[in-house]
Amino acid sequence: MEYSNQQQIDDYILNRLSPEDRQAFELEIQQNPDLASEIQVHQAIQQGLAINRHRKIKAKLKKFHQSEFSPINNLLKGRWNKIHWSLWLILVALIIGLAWFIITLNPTPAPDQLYAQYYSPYSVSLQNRNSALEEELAAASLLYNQGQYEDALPALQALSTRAPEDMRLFLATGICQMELNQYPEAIQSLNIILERKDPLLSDQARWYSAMSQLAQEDYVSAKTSLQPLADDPDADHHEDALVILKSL
Amino acid sequence: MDTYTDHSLLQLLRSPAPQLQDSGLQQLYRQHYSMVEHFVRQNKGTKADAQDLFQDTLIAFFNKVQQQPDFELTCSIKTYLYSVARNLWYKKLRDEKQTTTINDHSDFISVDENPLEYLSTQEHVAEIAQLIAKLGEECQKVLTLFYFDNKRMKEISHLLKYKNDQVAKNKKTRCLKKLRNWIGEQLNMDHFLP
Repeated sequence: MEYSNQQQIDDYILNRLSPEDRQAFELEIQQNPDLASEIQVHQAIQQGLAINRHRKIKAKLKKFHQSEFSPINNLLKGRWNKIHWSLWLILVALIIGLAWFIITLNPTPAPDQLYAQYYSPYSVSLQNRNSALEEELAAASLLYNQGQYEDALPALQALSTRAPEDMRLFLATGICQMELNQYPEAIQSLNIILERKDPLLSDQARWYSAMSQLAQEDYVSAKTSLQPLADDPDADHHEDALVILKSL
Repeated sequence: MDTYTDHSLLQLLRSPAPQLQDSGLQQLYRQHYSMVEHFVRQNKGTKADAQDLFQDTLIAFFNKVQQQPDFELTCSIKTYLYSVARNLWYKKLRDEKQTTTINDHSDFISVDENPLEYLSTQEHVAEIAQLIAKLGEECQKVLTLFYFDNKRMKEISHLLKYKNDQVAKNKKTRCLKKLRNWIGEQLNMDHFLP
C-alpha cells in the first residue's frame, strides 16, 4: 500500500520535522493504524538498507583481508618490501648463474674418470755416475722414459734387488706395473717407499698408489692414500689431491 | 607500508567517490587490523573472530563518519577503533555469557555501546534486507543514500550524476514503490500492524 503523505513519512523517519510537527505527526500515528503500519514498514526498510549496506562493505573487506593477509603477501611484506625481494631474487639468480658457469668451466670429474684425468707417468732419472750399476741404470732409465714399460720392468726389478736403498727404482717399477695394468703389484712396489719413509719420494708413492687404487675403483683406499697429500699444503700433488677427494 | 595520517584517512572516508572511500577503508585495515587481532586473541577470541570484529568495527566507524558530517574525533583513529572493537567484543562475550573481564593493551574512550544495533533485527527485517539485495544496484544506491545516509535529493542527484533533483526524486519513488510491493506480496504484513 502506498501512503499518500510520503513526504511526511520520510521527514518523520529521517528526523527532519520540527519538534512541533513531530509531536503532531506522532499524535496522528497513534490515531491512524494504517499510518502506524506504514511507519513501521519504512523503519524496517531503513534497517534493511543498513543491513544490506553492511553486508556489501563487509564482503569487500573480507576479500581485501584475504588478499592483504595471504601467506605470500605476509612473506613479501615481512621486513622487506617487494622491491627488496625483487633485488634479492635477482642477486640470488646471478650467484646461482655464476656458480653454474664456474662449475661447467671446471667440472668435477666423476670418480671413474679421475684416473684418466690425473694419471701421468713420473719422469724418473735413474742415472748415478757413482754407482757400479751405472750402465744398467742408464739402460733401464732409457727404456722407462721411452715408454717401453714391458722391457723396463724386469730390468728395474733386477736392479731394485741389487740396489734396495734406491727408492727411485721402486717408484719406476711401480709405474711400469701401472702402465702394464698390474695395479696390485704396483701398490706393493710403492708401499716399499712408504715403509722406508723416504722423504723425497713418499708423496709420489702415495700419489701413484692412489692412482692405482682409482684404476681399480677402490675409492676408499684411494681416499686414504690421498688424505696425507691433501692435509699438507707443501706436499706434491696437494691441490690435485684436494680436488680428487671432493669428487670422492 | 605507507602510513596515512588520521586527517587524510578521514578525508578519504568522507569523499563522495566510492574508490576513495574504499582506499581509506583499506588503509585503515592495514594500519589497525593487527591491534584488534592482538586484543581479541588476548581475550578468548580466535583469528576468525578478530577478522569479523575488525570488519564490523571499521564499518561502524565508516557509518559514523558518513552519517555525521560534523563528527569530530577527540582522540586518534587508533584509539577510537580500539574503543569500538572493545565494546563490540565485550557485548559479544556478555551475550555468550562468558566472563567479562577484558584484558586491555591500549587506551580507550567511551563510545556508542551498540553502533551496529541494526544488525540485531527481527526476522521480517532480515527478509526485507534480502529483498533489497534483489533490487537493481541503482535502486539500492538511491534508497541507501536517502534512508541510511540521510542525503538530500540535490546531493543524491550530484553523487549519482542525475540531470537534476527531480530525476533523483522520481527514481527514489519508483524504487520504493517496487520494494513496497514486494514486501506486500512476499511478507506477512501482520509484522507491521500496530
